[in-house]
Amino acid sequence: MSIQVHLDRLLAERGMTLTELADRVGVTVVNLSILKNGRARAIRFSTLTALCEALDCQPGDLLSHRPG
Amino acid sequence: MTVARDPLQPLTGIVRLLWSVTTVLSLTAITLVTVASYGTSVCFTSQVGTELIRTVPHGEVGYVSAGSLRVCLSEPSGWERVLYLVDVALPMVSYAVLFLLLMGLLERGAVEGVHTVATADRLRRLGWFTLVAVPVATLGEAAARILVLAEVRPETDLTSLTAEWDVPWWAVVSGLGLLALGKIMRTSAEMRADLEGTV
Repeated sequence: MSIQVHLDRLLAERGMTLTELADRVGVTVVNLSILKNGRARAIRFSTLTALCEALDCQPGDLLSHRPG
Repeated sequence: MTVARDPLQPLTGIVRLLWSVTTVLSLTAITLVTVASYGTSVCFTSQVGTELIRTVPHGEVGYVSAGSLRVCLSEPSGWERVLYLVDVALPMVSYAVLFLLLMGLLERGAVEGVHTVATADRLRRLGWFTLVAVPVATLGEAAARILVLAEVRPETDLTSLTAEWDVPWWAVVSGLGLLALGKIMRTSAEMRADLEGTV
């Protein structure tokens, strides 16, 4: 997929685990894992908002587009 | 422990029963024609050529006319026996295959889930079979009768085939309906996959 998810990097920079993030945003660890591994087909605005609030970042920090 | 109920029952059971019946009838017909009736006469009933049977004056009421012509061959050749087999067994075999495809659709659908791309593909396959194979089977049945009739009635030609062929319009309509439904199901299956992949 040409959309890259940088959840790994953001978690490492903030010293946060996936389980902690899941608790904060109210999304299951399984779903966050799907997102982290680039297997998600879509992301809800509500999930994106919750992630941005929990990680104190912009959507662009979390997602990027790689052409080709 | 509760056992998950098959949402497609009792339909699957009914289709399985119909498949069993049509398969047994097909195999019985093939066995009877190829083995048991060897050396005996074979008879074909045709709707073409009924003008050979002259209407008979029937008192003051009117005339008696025949709606079908029965041709019996006392010593059929191997080719005529093959035509007889096609006439007797081909439509039944097509029904057996139709029920087999339908049974596969229902059984696999119950296991893998109804709204999947695989189920939509099976439905599409069933649609194509209904649309093409069932009319072709009845065409083959009609062609077999016409070929036999041509031996006793030289003026029999291609137009006789169109007269003899009873087009199964139910299969055309149902086949198109199944193809449309298959297309709709495929779209809904893809939508389901999208929803399941939405975080």
